[in-house]
Amino acid sequence: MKISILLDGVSRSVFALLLLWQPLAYSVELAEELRFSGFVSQAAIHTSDNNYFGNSDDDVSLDYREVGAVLSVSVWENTHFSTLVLSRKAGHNSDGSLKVDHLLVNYNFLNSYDHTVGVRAGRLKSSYGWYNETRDVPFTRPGIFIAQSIYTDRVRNSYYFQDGIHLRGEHRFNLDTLSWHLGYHRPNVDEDEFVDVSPIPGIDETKSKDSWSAGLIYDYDAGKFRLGLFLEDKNFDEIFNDRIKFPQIGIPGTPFKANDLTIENLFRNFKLNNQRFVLSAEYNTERWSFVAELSRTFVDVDIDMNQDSSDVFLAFGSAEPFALDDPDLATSLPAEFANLTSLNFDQKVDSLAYYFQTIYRAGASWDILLRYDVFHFDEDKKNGKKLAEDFKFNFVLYPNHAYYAKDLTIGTGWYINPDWLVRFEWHYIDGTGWVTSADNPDRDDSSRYWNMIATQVSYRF
Amino acid sequence: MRHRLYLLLLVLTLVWLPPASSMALEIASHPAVNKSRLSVTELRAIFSMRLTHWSDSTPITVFVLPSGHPLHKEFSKKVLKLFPHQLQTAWDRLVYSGTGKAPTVVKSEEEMQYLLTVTPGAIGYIDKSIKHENLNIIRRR
Repeated sequence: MKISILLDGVSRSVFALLLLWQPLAYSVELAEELRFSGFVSQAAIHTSDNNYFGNSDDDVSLDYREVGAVLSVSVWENTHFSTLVLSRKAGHNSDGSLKVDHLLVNYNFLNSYDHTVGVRAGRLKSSYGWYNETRDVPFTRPGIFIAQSIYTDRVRNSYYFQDGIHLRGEHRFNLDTLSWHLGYHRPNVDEDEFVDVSPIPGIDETKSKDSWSAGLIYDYDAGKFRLGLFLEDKNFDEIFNDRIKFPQIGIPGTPFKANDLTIENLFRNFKLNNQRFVLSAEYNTERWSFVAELSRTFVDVDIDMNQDSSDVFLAFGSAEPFALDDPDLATSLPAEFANLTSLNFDQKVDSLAYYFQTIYRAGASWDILLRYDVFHFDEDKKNGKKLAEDFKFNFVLYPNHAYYAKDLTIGTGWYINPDWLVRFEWHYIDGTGWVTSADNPDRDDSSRYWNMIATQVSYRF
Repeated sequence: MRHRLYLLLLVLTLVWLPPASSMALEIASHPAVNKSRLSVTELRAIFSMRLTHWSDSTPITVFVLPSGHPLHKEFSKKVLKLFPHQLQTAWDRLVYSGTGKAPTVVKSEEEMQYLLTVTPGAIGYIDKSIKHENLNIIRRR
């Protein structure tokens, strides 16, 4: 197996294990209600600029692969356990180590021809949009990548994996179906992702807090037309280092130069509230599917300043102690910091993301994908222009194009048979809003316009 | 002359086009399944894998032919009113989100017929022309 050469460490052993298990899965129904299945995928990605899932810039990255195994068992009439163990390698964002993608129990306390109502508890995936619950399974995606505006991988580990409980229902009326869920959960935190997306340096620890979700889907005429509305409310507490370095700021005429400026105990912590709603629509014919999804995200960052710290004013070169709400602050600071008072420490960001997608099934085994996908980090400040200026005061300054992305995708998929799938994709992208800093550590060096071509081979059993 | 031509066309149309409801398949189950009629809502609950047990608590085992099989296409479109790609998407979502399980895909019509005969609680579909003494045929309500 040539493909196994590409797999490293844990992935390789998992892959070998799956190959060993494969005949088992076919020949042995381990028990009447015990099911085992899985999938393996390997991609090759080339970009004209900027790295995506590994060192793809003017090179070919093989650092995107998924190996997953699902085990499910129905124990009693209304109880069903399931777990999906996943090794995902995606550039510097996911390292390929084994993770529990979901580990849950479903219990239906009402199940008839017309109604199903039950609970689902354990490690769950955020249940929003058409694709999130199965985002890492190649056979459930319309392309190699799902729309990155809405299903961004930049914060995937923290925003989409959660431990909690969902109350779920499904009601069938002749050819229509109404499904819903209400969820309570604690998101799983990936510290590195918060450091990447934070406008303020020095985050030491992120803790997840009580979070909520709700969803409503209506399938009309056996799902020919589908409409979904999803709401999410996620909460985090972020705790800072004692010492924060501000890489972008130096103070002329003082000993403080760029990267020298260190402030102790400036921030105690901040509360991050992330509210999101997603509107999803889909129209299906035998050969065509038309999909549109729109997401608005409201991020509210409430920063708790440590105003007692003498380091605050000393660091900013002030001769006298000051309080941040002091009206004379502007005059007591060096000129470079005259507008420091305008710092908005209750920062609100209103993100907008949407895409349109068409899938054409040319035959039983061919499909063609066309998608236009748009992401704006802050809807009021399109194209990042004003935003990058505002964020100067937040000490991490990215180029304007790091705050948006527009992606035109054309792709095709070929099912060699129902278990083997090969995909090709071309992306033309304006903006770097959803590329990770992990893959692109020097964002000043990133390019606004770039192309990506990718291919992926997937196998399931 | 022209009227006769129209009449001929009309007759031919009536002869050639079967009534909309007629199908080349039957919904079939293990002979011990105590159901003779199921509504479209009931069939959707079963084939979307939501309903897992018959009313006597026997587990429901759903057998289907591969997605591209003509009989599967006909069953999907005419009985469930779904395109096969929708059905496949719904099953994949069940399995990979941990909500449920997918039906068992059989290789051929012969295997389908055999498994329906020997698996208590099983349901599937067969070609109408096949002899089916050992199966329970379910009509649509």
